[in-house]
Amino acid sequence: MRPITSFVFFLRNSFGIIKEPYHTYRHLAHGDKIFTQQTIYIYLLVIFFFLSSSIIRLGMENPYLLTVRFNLLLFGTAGGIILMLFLFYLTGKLWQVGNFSLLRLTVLWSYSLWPTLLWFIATALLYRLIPPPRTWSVPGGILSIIFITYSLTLLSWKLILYYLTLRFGLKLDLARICLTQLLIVPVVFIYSFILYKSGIFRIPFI
Amino acid sequence: MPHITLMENDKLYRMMVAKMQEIAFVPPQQMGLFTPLYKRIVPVFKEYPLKSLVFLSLAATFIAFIVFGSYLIRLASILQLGAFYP
Repeated sequence: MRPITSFVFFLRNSFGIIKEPYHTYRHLAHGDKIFTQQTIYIYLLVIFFFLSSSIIRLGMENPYLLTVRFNLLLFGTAGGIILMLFLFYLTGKLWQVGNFSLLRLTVLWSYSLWPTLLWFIATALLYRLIPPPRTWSVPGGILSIIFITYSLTLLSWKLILYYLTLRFGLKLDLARICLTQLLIVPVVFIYSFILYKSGIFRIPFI
Repeated sequence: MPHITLMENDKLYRMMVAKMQEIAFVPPQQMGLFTPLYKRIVPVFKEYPLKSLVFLSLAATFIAFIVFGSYLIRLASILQLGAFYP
């Protein structure tokens, strides 16, 4: 697939997961050909965001610290994505899913990075524009309500995309998806705790 | 037989078959007694879910603000301090 074609696919599907996530995910999962090239743009955006946020936070005075910071963020994120794909693979084995396709799961899960990326971008921008802490005042209360609403909306959107990844990537029904959480949630919790303790992410970039 | 061949060559027919196959990609969700309720709720989230999500999140935030008060502001501060270190 040509870069321009994959970029058009990426744009169309990115708008699709906002407007019609169910239909977009079903369309992405269906078919014999899985176009993984389209997901490269979301990863480029993630890399660009980590680079710019590291520069904003640390400045350009210490290139060594900047490189370490950037690499830590990148490895933390890559580890999370690989872990999730491995957990999906285990889930597929557990439920004996026929016609298992890791490529399909990779494409579906990659698009679910959009809510995460948007939340991190907004948080980083707010950190610069209106630095915390918020105060117990009218503007502080309004801003907190707006921010928490924004966070909850993106979290719910992320959960929908996560559900759709399991639904179309592994063809699981709701009961099996709920049972699968007994495997996935504890592992993700432990991974998030490791990232927190090692000083990489307070909230995991998953 | 010629009718079938004619249909199979028809672009619209092939598109419709492909769409039907896509729709039948996963079997319909069955939840026993809760299936009718599920079928009523889920379409809201299938078509442009962000509108419903924003509304629900706003309602949840207001309720949380009334219940927890200043704790919610503290939570917003913790989140805004930056999701990642330093």
